[in-house]
Amino acid sequence: MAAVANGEPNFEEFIRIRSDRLLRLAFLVTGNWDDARDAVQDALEGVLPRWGRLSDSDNRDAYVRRCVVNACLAIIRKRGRSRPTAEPQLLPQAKVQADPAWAIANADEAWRLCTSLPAQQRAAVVLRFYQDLSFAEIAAALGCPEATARSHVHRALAVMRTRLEEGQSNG
Amino acid sequence: MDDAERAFRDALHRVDSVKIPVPALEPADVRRTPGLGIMLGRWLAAAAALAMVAGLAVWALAGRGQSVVAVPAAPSATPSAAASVPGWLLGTTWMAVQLGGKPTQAAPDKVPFLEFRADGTFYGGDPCNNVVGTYQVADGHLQLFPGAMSEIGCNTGQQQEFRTVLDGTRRVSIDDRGFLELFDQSGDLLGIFQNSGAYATPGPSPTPAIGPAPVIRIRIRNASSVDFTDVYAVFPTGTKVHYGPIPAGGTSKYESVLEAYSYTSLTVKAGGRTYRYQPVDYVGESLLPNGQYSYALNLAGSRIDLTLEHD
Repeated sequence: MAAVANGEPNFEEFIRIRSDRLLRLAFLVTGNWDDARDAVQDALEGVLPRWGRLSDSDNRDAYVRRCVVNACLAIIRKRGRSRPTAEPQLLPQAKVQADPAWAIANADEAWRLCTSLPAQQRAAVVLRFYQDLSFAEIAAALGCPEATARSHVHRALAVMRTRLEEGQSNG
Repeated sequence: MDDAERAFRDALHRVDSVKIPVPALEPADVRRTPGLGIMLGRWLAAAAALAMVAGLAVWALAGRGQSVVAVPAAPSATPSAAASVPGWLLGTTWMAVQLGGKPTQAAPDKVPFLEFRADGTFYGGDPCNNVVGTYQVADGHLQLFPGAMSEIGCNTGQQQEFRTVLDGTRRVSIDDRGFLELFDQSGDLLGIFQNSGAYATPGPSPTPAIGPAPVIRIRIRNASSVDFTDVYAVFPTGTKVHYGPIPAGGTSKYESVLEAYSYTSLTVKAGGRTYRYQPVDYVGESLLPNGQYSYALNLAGSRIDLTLEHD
């Protein structure tokens, strides 16, 4: 096991501890696992030369998160305007925390909406509702003003509310 | 938390119970960046090769680390890597709309531009000063190797900003709206350029006969009866624009911005007091289409009244 100096994990230890979580974050932003792995790998390669200067754990986590999100957005841009190859078939099999049928239906709708959002907006939604970040933290991760981060999330929520209302009126 | 928020949370947290179907990342997967000696070797190799290209400045090549220690080919005037250049980058003139976080001047003869050729060269300028250089693409990253730039001095501040952007660029991408974005090594945005159409005559002395890029231009109109001693606006992209003093009944000059709504964050100083107009958000608002607008500002008691005018 890699050394943990002064209570702080070294880079190798950090990868072992955090890569799983970072992969899941990247998957939610990119929409597929291969891109997610590439994004995390790209991000960590970029982080490595600066690791020694990232002493504070909060700043370090925020910095790595920003690098991962940037790498995800870069990959999405690189693959052009083609639709992401989302893998929704994996998710409906997974447990929903609240279990009633309406919650599952709503979560399915939310996931479909997520995969159709513009990249920045999807990243903001993921950071807000998966990572539970504040708008200031989302803004830092996306490199945008806080008002823009807030706007990304609110727009997605507005669409989701409309869809839920439509679902209720149709159902 | 309402149903919409709960639905997003449920949908996204499902991923926590999914077994990740790709191999776990191991430290060995994160390739090591070469040590100082290798970096110096790369720099010297790049310098030696570029020295043969008259007029070109030399920049250290900061490529991605390789697990096998090797000095990559130094950048040349006709890099073979140009074959991997994304098609959207080539064949068009990119006009700067934002450099170093500041909007560029709107006058067409003052706007810096960039043109990328398939042979691995690029041209740029503002355009009273031209710059010629090479670029190299590797692993999706782009690095510019600008040559010497004349310094006649049409707009010194903007020239320096443009040069800083050229020197610092390590990655380019195109955003959802079709703007070319240049990023530095840390992923920070250095500049934004707009596609202004195909360049006319690719050649060694480009003179873009292209009009101003279609952008949103916004000025401030002082609709009050007191002089504004200073006015600042912060637009949704984070761009801060200084409009300066505006007398009662007067207007500022237009400034170009990438995105704007019918209102924005404003700070007005008048009569020794500071007034602020701070939107909570832009939810439900539509971005303004390209065109010229005025934010008409009036002071009513301790607050600012803002009215959008389409000029």
